[in-house]
Amino acid sequence: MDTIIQLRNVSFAYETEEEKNLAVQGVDLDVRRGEFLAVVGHNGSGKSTLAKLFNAILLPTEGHVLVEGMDTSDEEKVYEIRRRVGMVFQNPDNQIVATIVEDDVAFGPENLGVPPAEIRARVDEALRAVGMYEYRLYEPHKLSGGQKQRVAVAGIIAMRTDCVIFDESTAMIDPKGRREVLETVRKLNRELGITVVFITHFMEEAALADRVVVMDSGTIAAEGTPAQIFADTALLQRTGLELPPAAQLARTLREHGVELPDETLTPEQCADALFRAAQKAGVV
Amino acid sequence: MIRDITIGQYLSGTSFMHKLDARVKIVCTFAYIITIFLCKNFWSLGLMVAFAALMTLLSRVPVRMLLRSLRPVAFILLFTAVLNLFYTKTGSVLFQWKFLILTDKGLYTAVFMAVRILSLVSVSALLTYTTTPTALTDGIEKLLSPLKLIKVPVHSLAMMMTLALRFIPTLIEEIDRIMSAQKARGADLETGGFIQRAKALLPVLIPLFVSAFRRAYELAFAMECRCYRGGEGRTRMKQMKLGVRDAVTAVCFVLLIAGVVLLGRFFPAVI
Amino acid sequence: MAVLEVRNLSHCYGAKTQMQVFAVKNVSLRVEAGELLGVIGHTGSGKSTLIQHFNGLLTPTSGEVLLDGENIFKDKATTHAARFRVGMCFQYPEYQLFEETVYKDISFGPRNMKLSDDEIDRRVRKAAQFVGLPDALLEKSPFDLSGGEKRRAAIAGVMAMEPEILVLDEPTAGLDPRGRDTILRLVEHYRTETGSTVILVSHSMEDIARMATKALVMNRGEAALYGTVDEVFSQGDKLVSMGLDVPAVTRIFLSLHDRGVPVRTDVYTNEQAAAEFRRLLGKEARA
Repeated sequence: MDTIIQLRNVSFAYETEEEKNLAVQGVDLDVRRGEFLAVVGHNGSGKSTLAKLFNAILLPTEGHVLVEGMDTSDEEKVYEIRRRVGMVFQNPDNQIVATIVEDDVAFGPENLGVPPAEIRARVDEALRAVGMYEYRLYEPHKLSGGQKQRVAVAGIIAMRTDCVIFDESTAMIDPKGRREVLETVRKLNRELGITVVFITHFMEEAALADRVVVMDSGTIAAEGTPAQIFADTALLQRTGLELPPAAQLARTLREHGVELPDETLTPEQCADALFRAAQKAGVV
Repeated sequence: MIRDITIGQYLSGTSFMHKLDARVKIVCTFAYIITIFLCKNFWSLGLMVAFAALMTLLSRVPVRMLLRSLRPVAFILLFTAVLNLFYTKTGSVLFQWKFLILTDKGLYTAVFMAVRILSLVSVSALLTYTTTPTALTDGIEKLLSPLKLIKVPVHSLAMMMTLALRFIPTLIEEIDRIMSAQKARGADLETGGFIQRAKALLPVLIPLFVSAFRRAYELAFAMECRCYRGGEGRTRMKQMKLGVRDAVTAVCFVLLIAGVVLLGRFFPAVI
Repeated sequence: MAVLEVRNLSHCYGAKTQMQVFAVKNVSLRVEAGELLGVIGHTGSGKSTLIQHFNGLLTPTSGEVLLDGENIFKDKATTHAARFRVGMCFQYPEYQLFEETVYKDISFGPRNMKLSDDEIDRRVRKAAQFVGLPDALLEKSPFDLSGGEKRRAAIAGVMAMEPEILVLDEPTAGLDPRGRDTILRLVEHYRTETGSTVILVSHSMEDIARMATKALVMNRGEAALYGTVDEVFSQGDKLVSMGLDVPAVTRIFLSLHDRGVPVRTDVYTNEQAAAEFRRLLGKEARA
């Protein structure tokens, strides 16, 4: 599979007056084109620093980050890199620039110098893709957190980026908004083939990814499919993470002697597994 | 509710005024304000007021909304009117009581000032009621663009204005939240003398500044991530195009100004 | 007697204008001393408006709030005193930190209460202990703390007022699993240790299910459901219809029920679910 972002032995240190603080150290990682990659880890595990290294907001103090072959340390390429790899931040209020939704979505393409008629087409298309077209003339501060984040997503995909990094974009919004954002992200990934790097500390969100990377004290502690990661109880314990709620239920059931197949990470999978178990026992 | 604050007072609509180009509206508003101070007799003043009424009609802005925009200037209006009424000592005396002297000229000046302020505020309100903040800043940016020749950072100024408009509601909400939080800890923000009050505001101001800086920092990152590099090489989704409507409006304004000048020649000034 | 009683409380924004909106409509509730009341509802359901009446920050359009049987809106002094009797910790409380040191910040509330220096010192240290902030941190600037520590320092600032009722609005918002568990554990510890009443506003049904003794569900400004946690959470279908995020366990059992599996749908913890599922399998095996 084609890789879109390559991290080669990447380290990053925040320097303060007293100390050098290694936030990321010696990370090697390939982000594959079209995948939905979740990056999890507790606060201070380095996952947010890692995110900011992907599109040259931060530059590695050691090693290289390559976006479609371009080194993020190359100043000439920064602009090219950012039009390929967009980012949605944590606080929805601090990334919306304009006073009208559609003007905000147009901001990126305008910066790229796209002709006006095409910007219009892209803005409408992007707003439809995130389900915010009816809100195009709203003022951003009248929207809910989930809606604001969807507008931010539209602003990125209107730039026709290949990859979108979500830097804890669901951390500050309510469960309803979180569901909206997550559904939008999955749809973009499936239907438009946009590569997604989703940084989160909600395990039920990571359970939906193709691949999960676990960060712990600046290094990659583990990498694998959600099923592999969440099967490793010791790893979760060590890295301060927990099982997704559905998986917790499955674990309790197994402890009580109920036999269930492996895939029980999402509520849907868990319900299916329980249904089959009930069928097997002949109660349905 | 605090969520319902509308900055720039824009009222969405599709009226004649709404469809006018922002640049034309801005220039005409300024032209109107200057012209109304050229009016020296009741005929020209009447013409200006009639024109303002026509504009209101064409904007479909409810009169109720227009009156609301006048409320904040009510005091200034009264103050200048009273001042003019009794301060003017020239002209024939209509009424005298102890040191208060009311002359006909004073009366006229008071009426003129009041009408001028009322029209000025109404016309400016019409501009903001019918123009989105974005169109307004874009219009200002376009109008000021000749100043780029003398190195005035016109684009940056316009961007600053846009961001300010964007963040005013966010910061108002924030102030509200911080004030509630500190009041809940027993902060007394309402009583005491000036110094005491200023001191009592620190628990609100410090968190507000900390948060505003954090927002600015994050916003700068977000803008860079969206390839913002200043005005160079930037296109705009909404193109400003002058149409027949704008031409007609401009001609009407030229005629209006000519009318006021002519009326000023034919009829004697009363102030 | 109930420590907090709310009688027919309504709050209306823009009263007497054409744009009046009822943020809270005719809510009544009784909270007994030592209870932990969980308040659930999505953004805009009126829960934030409701809780700001408990300490007199907002004045109701109609209705009463009684603390120990006394209406807090009786006179100005009583309203003001209510701020100290009901401690309120808002969402993202770390953004209200402002003093030079953590110690000074925690003491802001007690100082406003005009307590003696000794008493203030005792309270600050006790509150810091409750939230697990070591003495060494007390002399640091609050802006130098980590995210989780800031949050705990801010909560300590409210605890130091030693209120009879502690209201926490989304105290775990934005925290990772470890940070969330720390906060919830310290709240529970604080409640058992001091015997105070706690009102916890949360989006997380799992947290409410785990901690609360009673639950209030706000929907469109009204108290849609109010009762013991069992009573409220057993109505999973109603919660779903209000667009709320029911515990994953409840969602799974509702889905099984929809597919014709004869399970109860009033389960909300893993243990209940396991017991119910075993009952289902076991019973049928015997038959």
